[in-house]
Amino acid sequence: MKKNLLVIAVFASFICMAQNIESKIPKNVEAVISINGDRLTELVPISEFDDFNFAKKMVDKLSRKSDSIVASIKDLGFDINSKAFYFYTRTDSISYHNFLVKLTDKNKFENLISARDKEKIVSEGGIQMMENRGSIAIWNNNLLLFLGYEKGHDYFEKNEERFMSEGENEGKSYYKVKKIITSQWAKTYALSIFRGNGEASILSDKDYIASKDKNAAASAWIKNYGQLINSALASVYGTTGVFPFSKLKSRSNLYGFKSIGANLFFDKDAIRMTTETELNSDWKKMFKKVYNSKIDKNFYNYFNQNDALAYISLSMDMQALLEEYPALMTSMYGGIMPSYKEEMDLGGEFLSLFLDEKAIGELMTGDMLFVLNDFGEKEVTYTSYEYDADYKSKEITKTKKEVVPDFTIMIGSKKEKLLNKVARLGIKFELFENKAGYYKVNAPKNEIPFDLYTIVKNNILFFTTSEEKISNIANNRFVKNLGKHQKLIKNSSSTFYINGEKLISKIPASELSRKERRYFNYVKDNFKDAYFKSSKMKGNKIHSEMKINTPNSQGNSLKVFFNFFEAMVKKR
Amino acid sequence: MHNKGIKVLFLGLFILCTSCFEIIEEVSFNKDGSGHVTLTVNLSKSRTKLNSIMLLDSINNYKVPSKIEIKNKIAQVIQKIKQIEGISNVKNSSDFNDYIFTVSCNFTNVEALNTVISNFSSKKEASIIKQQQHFSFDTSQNTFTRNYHYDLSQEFKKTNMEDRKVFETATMTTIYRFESPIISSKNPTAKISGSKKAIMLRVNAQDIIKNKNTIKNQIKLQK
Repeated sequence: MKKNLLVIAVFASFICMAQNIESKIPKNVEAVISINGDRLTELVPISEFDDFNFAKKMVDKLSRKSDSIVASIKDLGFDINSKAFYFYTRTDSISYHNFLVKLTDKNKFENLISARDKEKIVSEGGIQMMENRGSIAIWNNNLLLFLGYEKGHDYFEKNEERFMSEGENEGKSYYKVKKIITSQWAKTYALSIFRGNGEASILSDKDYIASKDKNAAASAWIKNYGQLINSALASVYGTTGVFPFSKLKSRSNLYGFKSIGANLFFDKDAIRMTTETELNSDWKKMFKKVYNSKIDKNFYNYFNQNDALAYISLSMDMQALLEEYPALMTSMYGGIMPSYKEEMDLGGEFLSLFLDEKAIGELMTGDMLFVLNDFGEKEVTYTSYEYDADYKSKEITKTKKEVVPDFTIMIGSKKEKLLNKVARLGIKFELFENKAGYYKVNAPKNEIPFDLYTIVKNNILFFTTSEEKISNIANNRFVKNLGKHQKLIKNSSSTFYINGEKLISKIPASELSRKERRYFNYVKDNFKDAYFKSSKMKGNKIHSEMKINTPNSQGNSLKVFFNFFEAMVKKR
Repeated sequence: MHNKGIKVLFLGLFILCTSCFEIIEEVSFNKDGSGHVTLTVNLSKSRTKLNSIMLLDSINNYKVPSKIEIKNKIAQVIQKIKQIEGISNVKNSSDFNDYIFTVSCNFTNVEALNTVISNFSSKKEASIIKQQQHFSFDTSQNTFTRNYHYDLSQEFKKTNMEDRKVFETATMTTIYRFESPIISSKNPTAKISGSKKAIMLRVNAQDIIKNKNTIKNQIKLQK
């Protein structure tokens, strides 16, 4: 019987050991970052990682105090193949930065500690603890918790009298008392985390669980972004400052943002980061109205991917934006300055009174597309001097070639007639020149180095530096070529795209220093194109994605990233 | 977010273009050591870039001054120069179209000229300039000396890469005219004119920074 019990006990403890260390993260956490070592080592095996110079340097630095030879990151004693966590927690009195990582070899880890610090290690019941000023490390055979802590000023300011009146603190300075109290509390906290939280763990938070992607190399989650910013502001300004920030604590969700979840992926041919931002119900309503529209289909007729080094697209409902703007401002700044809430409110109402949201919304619909087409060379003049045989100077005008951007801007507008009237007035005052079906903007040559043409067509106001392009637009000869970009633009409220490969190859070498050329060439060869896009509201969340496409010659994008990092470190 | 994106894109386009500028120092000396000086800063070659920079609040962490601020600063310097003993006929021009700025004046002796130069620098610099005598005229030896004290290569090391680029194509030209013919000059880059009464020295800022060349010179005149 006893034997059976022993077997069960051993088995149970084995299960406990293998159990996810994530369960030790408390539920009342503010933010969590998880680094999925297993995923990373799958992409770049430890043996390959050790070969990088930057990795060698890092290991060297970490093991400087070690007596034994450390040749690989696996010799540091950490379990590289498992997940590691950072999390941020705070109470009314102390805030904690926590790191949680599994150990494979306790002795190897202890070897990293300097002889002087080793004297501080206290062993108790299979747990080792080392305290330093503002930090605590606790570990056993297979787990390390390291935390840094900071005391909250407000709390200790308010409670000074109470602490100092306690008998045990008699004769001590408040500075010392504070130090003793925080270190005691931090120790209790550290032990409770290390021993585990049971049911009160973060694993019972559905939003947290849902935010994480199994395939991500790293994930981050913030429970309430608005609140975190609030408290950051409060700690900067204090509660007794100019603004009564203490009142804000009850006004949570100041900025309308709730949770944020982000995941970082190293795919075969791309580095990708996705973000989900949750909004509160007020903001959700506003954002839904503002970002409900898709970019006008007409825009696609004037996009050619062979002619785009970079672009920015934007699709909003201008009328809704103007209507919602006052409320948005009140909710943002009314919270920061509660005593001015009424004034802000009234200001917003007045703004609405003066603006004809519908008319402005027709003049500018909220759709916008900016395309960087190319870099061109243009001859510009400048003043220099010539000297005669007696070195008497004479002013002369010289010319030189300068690189100028070629671009096209499209702005959605339903007021074609009005805009054409403006153009006619412009011609009268010689601001515009009437060409065959389009206009040339007569800007002073000194102020803009490129020509600019404009036309209003198909509910779009165009500005472009290329006469050929504007003529094609005017005469319905523009050849569209959308490729993957239609999908990219269509499904997002905003997109920022850049084709690094093409863009860099278009920059004349003469414009770059040798170092820059080397750097740019490396980027050009290792990163193809990249985009950032932000979706319309889905439920109460905004989804955004950043993606950098990499060549797949190196196997996966993490290898590309490490190689890039290696090259940059070397070139410094 | 979007505005920032556009700004970054535009900024990037212009910062890529390296800038150029030239500084010209022209001094005519009379026999008694008095004379006339014209200082010119010509940024015309970087006009396009400057036009774009003037639209920004700051660049590479430097605040971009407005036209008014520049004009005020120039006016201040001019005011100071006018008060220097031995200085007269102070004139200046600022051309914001071509970005060419000039200051000219008459001086009674090189001491006054040194004081003029020191006015373009900070107070601390100014006292060093006076001590170091950027310009000196030894009448007994009939020797004119152009000196300067800055250790540019040291100063240069303190700046970052972005800032260094600004000097890559900058030049400094000095032209000195005398009433007596020039016998010799110590700086081998300097060229003496056909009439022997003028000497010109053009140096790249890069060469000054790398200590390959200098605007220092010692010019010996015929008695």
